[in-house]
Amino acid sequence: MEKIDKYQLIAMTILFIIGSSPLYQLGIEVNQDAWLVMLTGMLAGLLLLFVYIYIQKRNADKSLYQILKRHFGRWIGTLLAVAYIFYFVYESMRNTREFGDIINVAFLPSTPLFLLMLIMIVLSGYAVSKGIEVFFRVVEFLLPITLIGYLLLVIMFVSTNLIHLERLLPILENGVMPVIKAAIPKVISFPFGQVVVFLVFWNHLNNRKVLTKVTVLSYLFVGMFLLVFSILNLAILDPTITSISTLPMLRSVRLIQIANFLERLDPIIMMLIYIGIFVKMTAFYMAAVLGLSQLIKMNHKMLTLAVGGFIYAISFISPNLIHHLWVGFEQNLKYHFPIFQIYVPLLLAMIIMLRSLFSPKRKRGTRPSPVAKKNGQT
Amino acid sequence: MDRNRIIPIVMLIFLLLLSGCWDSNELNSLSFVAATAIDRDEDRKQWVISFQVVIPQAIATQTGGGAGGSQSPVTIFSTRGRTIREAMQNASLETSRTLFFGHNSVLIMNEGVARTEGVKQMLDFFLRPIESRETMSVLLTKGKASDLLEVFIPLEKINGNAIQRVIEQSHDKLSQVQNIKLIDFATMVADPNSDAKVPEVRISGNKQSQSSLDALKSTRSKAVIKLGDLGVFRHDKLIGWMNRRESRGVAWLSNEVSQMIIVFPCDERNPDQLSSFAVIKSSTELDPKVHADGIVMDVRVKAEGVLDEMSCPMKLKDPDVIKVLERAIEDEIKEEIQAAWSKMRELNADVAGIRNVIHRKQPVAWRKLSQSKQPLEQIEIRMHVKASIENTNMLYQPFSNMLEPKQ
Repeated sequence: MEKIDKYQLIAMTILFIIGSSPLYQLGIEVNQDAWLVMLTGMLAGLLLLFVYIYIQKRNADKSLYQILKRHFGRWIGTLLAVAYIFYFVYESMRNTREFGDIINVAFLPSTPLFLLMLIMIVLSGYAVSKGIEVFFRVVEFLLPITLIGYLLLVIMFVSTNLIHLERLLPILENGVMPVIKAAIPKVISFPFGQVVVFLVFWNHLNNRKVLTKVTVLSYLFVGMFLLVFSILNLAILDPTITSISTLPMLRSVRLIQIANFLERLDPIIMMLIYIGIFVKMTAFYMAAVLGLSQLIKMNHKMLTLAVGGFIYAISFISPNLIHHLWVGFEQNLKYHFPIFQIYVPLLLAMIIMLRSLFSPKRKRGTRPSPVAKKNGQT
Repeated sequence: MDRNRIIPIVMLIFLLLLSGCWDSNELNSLSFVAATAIDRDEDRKQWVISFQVVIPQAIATQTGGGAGGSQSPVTIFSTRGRTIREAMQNASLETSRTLFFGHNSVLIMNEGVARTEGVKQMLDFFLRPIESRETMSVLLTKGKASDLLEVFIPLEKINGNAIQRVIEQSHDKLSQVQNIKLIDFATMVADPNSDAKVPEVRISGNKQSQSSLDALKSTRSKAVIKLGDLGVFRHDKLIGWMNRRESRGVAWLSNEVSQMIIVFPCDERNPDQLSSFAVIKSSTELDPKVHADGIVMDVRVKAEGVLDEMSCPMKLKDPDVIKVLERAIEDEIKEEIQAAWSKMRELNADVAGIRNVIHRKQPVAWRKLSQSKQPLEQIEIRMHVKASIENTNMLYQPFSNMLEPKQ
């Protein structure tokens, strides 16, 4: 079995959650409190993360698909596994289409979308075909580049006096409820709840003891990171302009002017966003391929090709970016994604908990743990 | 063929795809717009957009010797259309190259457009395409906006860039003029708690004789481009102007003073004797307090600087004398603020963002205030100005002290 180490997991968690999220201002419907929406989403997502970790800990060497089969039985388990595969494919498709369209809007307006997306999907497919270890190593290599890039942007923002923190005032003008409503479930579903895909990868970790610590710390780091960028956007663009901009972060970056020569830095942010999107779409793509390979016996490369082709095909479903973003932000985040990110994992965790409470025999049977041995001795 | 050969070939093919073929723009097929002016033909309900386009050959061949070339470094197109975009598109009917707006540094609007049409359509258009820059300076003019593009400015080849430099350096050296960038302007217009302000630029002198290259051959320019009043907006429409004194007051109120010269009478008995104080560092704090019958706004101004010019004979060694001078400077600042405040009330336009401060610090009182039609009438300002003369520069005593015994 392929193995990943803890640094690779840290890099993956950070880059995966960053993804394309800094580009958007999540929760802008509550104006200057949008950063609090991000904070609320992050804290709620943390609870969810503990649920995922609990599921993984109770099924140490199993992947999501095996866990589903084990606890829901063969038929329902397989059905849910198939549903998850479709969910991962869909998420991967969303990222592909999103970035293709962003490039269309911001850089290459007359280059056909099919080509932009083809290039991306081929690159991701190549990473998937090489397997988990290679992909995680690539991500480990991309992490410092990305973090340094974002750090440079922050330094440039500070040095150009663009940040007006007073624009965040007054805090909680209309009370707490609008913030919570904006955060739950939308900001949980994107980006924090997407961590559910790690249930496919965690069982490859070579040292299981560090799982909780590494994941939670990386999650907190990336949560702070997104919070900082959310605040920066609001403080630079003011909630008014932020709320009407398609890509607020891109606009903020375009305002940087240092000494009449360091300006027009849009390509930097696009490169950083592309790294994030690449990691996210490839992770979902890979999760789908791994899931399929457990259901049907087929060559890994053939599966990669098939799933890639499918993702590419369905990425043309939306007629335009407006529709695509509407479906994503107004429909999926509210009604569809929570099923996979919240309801099923919670149900799963409850079943696991109930089983461990009411059938100690079964637990002993499946897990010949030190506890069982001790019981035998005494 | 074996694998090792196929892979590089495939990669090379992808490199071709990655070069952005569909959107490739060759440098020699673009014409760079340095400045844009917006007028409107009200009779025909059309926008008139003028572009100042740089002629690269004319700039490239001039090596030293100022503007001695025979070709004008810029050329101007004017086009019409029912929308701004249409007018721009119509430029293709008369130019040989595609207009490129990435280097457009100033946007000049005609007063009439801002008064009757409003700026919302303009802002929408200039914030939308990726090519246009949010950092360009926005200016207003009372005459025809396109005229400003035609005036040559000594020392600079491209006058679009020159106008921006003029405004940038007056922003730094003389705080009564603010360099309003497109993004700042858009934010001020969009913000429900503040009203926008835009500096005016005008031609002073005879424009006709300054729009030919020959004008640069004489030592004194026949016409110059000059920054003047401050245009005041309510919502997205221009409603009035503020003169220099009032715009200085606005700068004090909105904490935008960086450097400024304050002229003050140094002797109460003789108000014609004027001296200068150079502000080097200043800060303004606004502190709203809620009372039963309205809001009292404490305006705390701190101005530190040096004495730059002194006309009265005085004992500057004495700290008490310095204090007297400081009082005079403070009174001058207070008068400027008062002038701005009266004008703001008269125009009912909050260009200093006073309501924004109330919104941030007193959200409850703001709610009541935001329902009022004349919110500024309910606010009382109380000024606490503190000027301090840090030093008297390289002269310890006024030069006029030398003449005292002779008189």
